[in-house]
Amino acid sequence: MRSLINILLVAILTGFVAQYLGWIAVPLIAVIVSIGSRELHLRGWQAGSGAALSWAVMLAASARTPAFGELLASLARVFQIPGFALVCVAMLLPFALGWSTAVVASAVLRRNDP
Amino acid sequence: MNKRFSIRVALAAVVLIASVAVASRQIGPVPALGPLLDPVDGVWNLAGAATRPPAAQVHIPNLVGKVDVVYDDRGVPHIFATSEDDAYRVLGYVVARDRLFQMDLQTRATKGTLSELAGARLVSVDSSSRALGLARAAEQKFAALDKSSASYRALMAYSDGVNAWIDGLQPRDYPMEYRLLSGTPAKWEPINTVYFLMRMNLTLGYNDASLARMRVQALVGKAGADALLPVNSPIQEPVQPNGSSAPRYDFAPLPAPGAGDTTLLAVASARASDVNALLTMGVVHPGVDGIGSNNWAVAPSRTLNKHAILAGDPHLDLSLPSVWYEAHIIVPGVLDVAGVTFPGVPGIIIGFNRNAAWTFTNGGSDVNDYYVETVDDAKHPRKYLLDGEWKNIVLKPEEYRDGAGHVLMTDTLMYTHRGPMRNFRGQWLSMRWTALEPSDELGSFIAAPHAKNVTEWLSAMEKMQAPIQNGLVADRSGNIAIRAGGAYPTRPGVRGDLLFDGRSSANDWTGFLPLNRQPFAMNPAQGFLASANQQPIDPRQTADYMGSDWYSPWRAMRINQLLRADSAWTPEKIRAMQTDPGSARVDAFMPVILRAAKAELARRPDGELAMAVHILEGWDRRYTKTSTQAALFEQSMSELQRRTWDELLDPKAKDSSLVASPADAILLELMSDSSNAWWDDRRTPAKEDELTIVARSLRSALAASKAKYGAVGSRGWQWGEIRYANIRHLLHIPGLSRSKIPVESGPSTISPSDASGFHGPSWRMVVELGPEVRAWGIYPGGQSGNPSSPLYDDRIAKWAAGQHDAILFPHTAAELPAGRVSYKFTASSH
Repeated sequence: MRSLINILLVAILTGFVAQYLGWIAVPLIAVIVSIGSRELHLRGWQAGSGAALSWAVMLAASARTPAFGELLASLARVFQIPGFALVCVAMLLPFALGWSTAVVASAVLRRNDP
Repeated sequence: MNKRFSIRVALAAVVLIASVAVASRQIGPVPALGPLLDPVDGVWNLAGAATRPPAAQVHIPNLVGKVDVVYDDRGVPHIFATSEDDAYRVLGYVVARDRLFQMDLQTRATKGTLSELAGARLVSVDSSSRALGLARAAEQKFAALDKSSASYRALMAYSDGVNAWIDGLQPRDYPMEYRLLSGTPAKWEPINTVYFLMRMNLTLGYNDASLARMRVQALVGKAGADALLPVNSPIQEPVQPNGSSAPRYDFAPLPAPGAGDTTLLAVASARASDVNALLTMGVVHPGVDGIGSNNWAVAPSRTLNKHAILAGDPHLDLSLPSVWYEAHIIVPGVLDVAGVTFPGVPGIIIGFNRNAAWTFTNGGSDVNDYYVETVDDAKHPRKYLLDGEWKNIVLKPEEYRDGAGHVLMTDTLMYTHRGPMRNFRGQWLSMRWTALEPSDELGSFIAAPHAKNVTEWLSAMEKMQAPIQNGLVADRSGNIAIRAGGAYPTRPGVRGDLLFDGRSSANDWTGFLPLNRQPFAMNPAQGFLASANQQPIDPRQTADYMGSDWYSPWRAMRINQLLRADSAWTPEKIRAMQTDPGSARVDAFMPVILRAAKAELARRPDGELAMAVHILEGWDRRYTKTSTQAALFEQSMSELQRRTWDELLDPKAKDSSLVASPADAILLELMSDSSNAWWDDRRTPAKEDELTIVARSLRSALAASKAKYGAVGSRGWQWGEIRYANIRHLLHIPGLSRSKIPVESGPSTISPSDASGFHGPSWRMVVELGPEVRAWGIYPGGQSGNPSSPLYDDRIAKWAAGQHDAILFPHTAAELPAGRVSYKFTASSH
C-alpha cells in the first residue's frame, strides 16, 4: 500500500510540475522526493514508476485524439522502429530518469535507500 | 556504505548520465528525447493539432475589418475579407498554420542560413546559395520597393498574418520537423517572400547554358559542341505557332567530332561542383528531357460547349508538403480568385477568377552569362580590369552560424558590376543573371488575379522579368493568349552560351528584348495554344537569340497532335489528356530503331537482336502500368545514348557517365545519317556505323533487362513495377515521404517521370470558362504539413490515378454546401 501511495504521489507531482517545466519535472520531482525519502520510505524504483505512470496517463489522454494512430505511425516510420517500441521508450525514459535521479540524490544526501 | 549499495549507486549514476544525455541532447540523427517525448509539450500534441480547428475567433493585428474563413473538406480555406490587405493578412495566417516549417526552410535555403536550423552539415549548401548572390539581390529588391505599392502592402499584410500565427504558438504546437531538428520557428520578415521568389528563380531560371557547352567543347571541339548543343532545336514545334500544321524537322548532317580543349574541362568541372550542393537539395534541376511543364488552351471553336478551356501542369520537385497550397480569396467587388499559392507568397500564382484563368510553364531561356575576369591578385583580388582600368571589387564578408549563434565558417563574397565573382580552378568568373537584376515579380502576381480578360492579364504580367515564363491565359469571352515573357538579355554577339571576356565592357549585355519581340500569340487560327518548355519561337520568324540546347519538343508535339485531332474538347477529355501515356518521342524513335535493327539482322542474323525487335514491335507505344515493353525501350534508349556519344564519356569518371547528354532530338537527327562519324565508337579498333550501334544497344538492353527484371514478359518487366513517383519530405526523411507510387508515365509523356521519380506534375488544373467558371485541380500531397493529419497526403492516390478534384468556387460563404464545410473561424484585430 505504501508503495502504491508513493508511486501515485510521485506521478501526481510529476504531472503537475510537467505542465510548467516539461520533462525536467521528472528529475526535479525525483530529487525532491529523495530529500524526504526516509520519511516516505520511498525507493528508487517507486520514483521511476511514478514518473512513468505520470507520462503514461498524460500520453493516454493524447491518444484519445483521432490522429494519434497516424502520428505514432509517422514517428515509427521516421525512427524506423515499431510504434509500440516508441511508446516503450516514452515510458522507459521517465522511469530511467526518475529511478536514477532518486538513487543518486539519496546517495548524495548520504541517506541510505531503505 | 556497503558494496551492494555502492554498485547500485554507481549503476544509477551511469543511467542518470545516459538518460539526461539522451533527454537533453541531439545524438546523431536522434533528437533530444526529453522535449520530443514529453507528454505535455512533446510531439504527441501534433495529433491534436492535426484535427483541431483553431479558435472560432482569431486575433490578427492590423486587420481593418472582420474576415471569415471557411475550410472545405479538402482543407482549402475560402477567405472572405472586406479589403485585399486583410485577405493577405489572413492568407499568411492560414498558410503558416498549415505550412510553417516549409516557409521557414525555403527562406533559409535562399538566405543561406540552413545551418542555423540544421547544423554545420549544411554550411556548404548555405555557402553555395550565398555565392550565387540570391540573398543580396533579394535585399536590394526589397529595399527598392515603393512603400505605397501593392507589392509592399501585400508583403507587410502577409507578414502580419504569419507572425500572428507564430506569436500564438507554444512549444507544444511546433511542427514535427522543428522537434526532429531541435529548432524553433523564426519570426517571419516581409523580405522572406522575396527570398522565396529568388529561390524559384534558382529552380527555374538558373540555365547555365555555357557550362554544358564548355564540357562538350573540351572533348569534341567547337564544331562538335555547336552540333550537339545547337542554338535551334532541329525539331520545330514552337510555343508561338508558326503556321505549320505539323512539327518541322530541320535535320542536317552533324559535323564530325573534333579535337577537344581539355583545359576547359577542369574549369567546367569546378563550376559543376559549384552547383552540386544545390542539386542535392533539389533547388537546381538537372537538365534532362524527363521533366518540364505543360500548358494549353483551347478556343471555343474547338470545344463541345463553345467555352474556352485552359489546362496546366507545372512540373517541379514532388515534395511533402507540396510546393503548392490551395486557397480561395474573396474581396467583394475587388477580388475573387482561387487556385494555388506558394507558401510564403501573398497571392494566387496559378488559378482563375470569375473571368479568366492562367497558368505557366518554364521558359528555359539563357538568362545568365559568365565572364572571365582579370584580377590584380590571383589569390586575394581587390580589383578587376575593365576597359583598361582597375575597378574595385565589392567585398561582402559572410558568417555562417549554428543554432546557438556560434560562427561555423566565414568567407567573403565578391561582386563585380556584373554580379557575384568566384574562383573556379584558378579562373575568376563573374556572373550576370537576370534574377539578380532589379524587378518586382510580386507586383505581377498581385495584379494578375484582378484581370477581367486576357488583355488585362497580359498587361499585368508585363512587369514579370525572371524567371522567363510561358504565361498562358484564357477568358470567358473565348480569348486565349500566350507570351513567353520576361527579361531576355541581348548580347553584343549572336549567342550567350559562351564564356565572355570580362576585360571589355563591350561584352556586357546591351539591354533586354522589348516586349514586342518576345514570343507571343493570341487567338491563333489553329484554335489552340500550347507550351511544354520547347524553343518558344521558330528561328525562321526571328533572329533573336533566346537560348540553346532546348528540351526536345516531345511533349509539345504530343499535346499538339492530340489537340489537332479533335474539335469537340470537353473538360473531361482535357483532364484525361493530362495523363495521356502516349509519347511523341517513342513515335519518332521506334521506326528508325526498328529499321536499323532489321537492316542489321539482314546483314548479320542474331537471335537476341531478333527477340528485342519482336518485343518492341509488339508495344502499343504507351507507358501504361502493365506494359512490359516500355522497360526494354527505355533501356535501349539509354544504351543508344551511351554508345553513340562515347566521345562525351567523362575521362575522369569511374563509371560510363557523359559530361553532358545531347537532347534526344539531336540523336534522332543523327539517325537520319547512318554513316556519320559520330557513330564510330572510338574505344574500338573497328569503324562502327548506325546499324552496328543500334544492334549492340538493343542486344545489351535486352540482356540488362533480363538481368534486372527477370524473364522476358514477366511481372518484373511491367512498367508499373519499374517507374515510380517518389514524393520526398522536405528533409528527405523516408518515414515522412511517400515513395514507389506507380505512375502511368514515362520520359517525355505529357505527364513525364524521370528515373529518380523526384519530379513531376506538381499541380494539375483544368478550367472551363463558361458563364459559370468550372475548375478541377489536384497536387500530389495535401494541404497540411502535419504528417499526422489526414490532409498530409490525402490527394496522392487520386493524383497517381490521374484524377482531379472539383474545385469549390462559391460566391459567398453560404454557398458552400454544408456537408463540405470542415470548420470555420472569424479573424479580427481585437
